[in-house]
Formats: sequence, structure tokens, C-alpha cells
Amino acid sequence: MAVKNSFIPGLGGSGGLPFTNGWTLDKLLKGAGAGLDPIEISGWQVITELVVPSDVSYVDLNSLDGNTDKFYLIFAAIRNPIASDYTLACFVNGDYTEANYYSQVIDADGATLLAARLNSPCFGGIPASGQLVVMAYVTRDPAGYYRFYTFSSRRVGSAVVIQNWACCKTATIANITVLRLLCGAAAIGQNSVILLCKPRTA
Amino acid sequence: MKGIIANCQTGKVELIEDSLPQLVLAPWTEPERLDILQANQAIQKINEQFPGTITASPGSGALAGAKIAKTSTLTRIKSAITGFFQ
Repeated sequence: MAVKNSFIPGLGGSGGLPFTNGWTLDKLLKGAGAGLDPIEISGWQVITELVVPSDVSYVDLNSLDGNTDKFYLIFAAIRNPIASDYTLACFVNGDYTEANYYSQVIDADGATLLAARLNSPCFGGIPASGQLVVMAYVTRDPAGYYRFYTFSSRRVGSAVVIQNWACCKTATIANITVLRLLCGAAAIGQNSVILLCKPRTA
Repeated sequence: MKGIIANCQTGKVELIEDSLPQLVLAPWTEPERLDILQANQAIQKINEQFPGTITASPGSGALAGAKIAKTSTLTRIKSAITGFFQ
């Protein structure tokens, strides 16, 4: 019995072309079949798990290979130890010139909506003495442009705010090799958490 | 500038302090954001009432160098309103 879109090992799916990294469509476990042990598990793998040891201005995520990995997921829970608001930005490949990036934001604060475009790779607004929690995907699109999109939440309780950023670089890049999450001060506080994930490869 | 370098191949994490100057990013502050939002809304309302009164948008680059942009935006609003009522 073929079960379409099944993720049950051994039952298979509806067929189709194999993925480039060797996964089988509709199978959670690679190499698994009736009575066989799986040799790999598909999905995402955490390649960096960072608990920030002391207040810092930036975090470099290096030794990346975006052309191989295709997409990255970043989960970040940032605690701001400073009593001022700061922008958190995400630069690629050592290009720290804000003007080489554009970001579009939608910000929902109660019944108030804000939309704006900035000439900067804005990743989130870190509230004064508060927290910013972000999930983002990062990629180099098929034309070669660095892009990310964030889903974030900041402030607490009845003041909670939704903020989404879409960023695109003004010029193409050859690969994604390093990402820098950067603030204008040491606003990435101790015990902030950053996870970087990539698709599992064979 | 104090930072962390995380090697995503080896898992090695290094806390460093380099001599690079702190990069000044476009500010993100709640009061500035609200000011710009109010400016946006004011311009939107003016343009709804009187189309074409203000052609410049405060959204583009308004937060980058917010104080200058805000001043510029508010000046434009003031000029538009003053111009209309004169």
C-alpha cells in the first residue's frame, strides 16, 4: 500500500525525483525500509548552539557554505543588558556597509501597524533592558542575492510586538560563508541564545 | 569591540575583543519609531485629503539616521500644511 505524503519508513510515497542530497521523497529516515535500520534522519540539524558567555556587540557564524546547504535557519533569543534600544543587523561575508542592504519591515504594536524600508540589513529591534526573540531563514537566492526573512517578537506581556523583516543585498554574492549578527553596542547580553540550523546532508 | 566567533564546522566558539571601531547602525528606538509612524500617518492623511500635496515618503530611509530624516519629514509636513493654509 502506497501512502502519499507518508513519513512512515517503509511505506514510501508517491515517488518522484530524488533530492540532490540523497533523501527519498516522503521518507523521514534515509535507507530505511521494512526490517532495515535507518542510516540517516532527514530534517534539520543544529550546527551551532551558542549561549552567549558575556555581553558582546556581535556574533560571527563562520565556516558556512550556503551553496551546499542552500538555506539556514537562525533562532535567536537576545537579552539586552543596556537601558537603550538597539538595532540588531545581520551582515554577510564581511560586508559591513549598511547601504549595501535593504530591509522592509512590518511591525504590529497593538492596533498600530508600521511599514518602512531601511537601507540596512535589520534583523530586529532589541528593546531597552528587554528581550528580542527571532526566527529567520537565510539564503542566497537563485539569482545570487543574499536574503533573509525574520519572524520576531519583542517586549513582554501586554506590550508584546510582532515584527517581520525582509532583507535583500544590493549586489549578488558568490556564496554565504559567514554571517555576523551585530549591534551598535554590547547589547547581545550574557545568556542570550543563538541556534543555527541547516538541512541535514547525506 | 567584543564579539564571539563561532566556527560552524568545528563547533569551536571563541570570545574575542578586537580593536575594530564600533559600527554605528541605523538606530532603532521606540520613541523614534513612533514619531516616524505618526509622520507617516500624518502624510497619509494629508495625501488622502489632498492628493499630491506631499510626494516624498518618510518611509524610505526615515529610520536610517532617524533624527535627520525625522526633522526633514516633519519639515516637509509643516511646509505642506503651511503651504496649504496660506
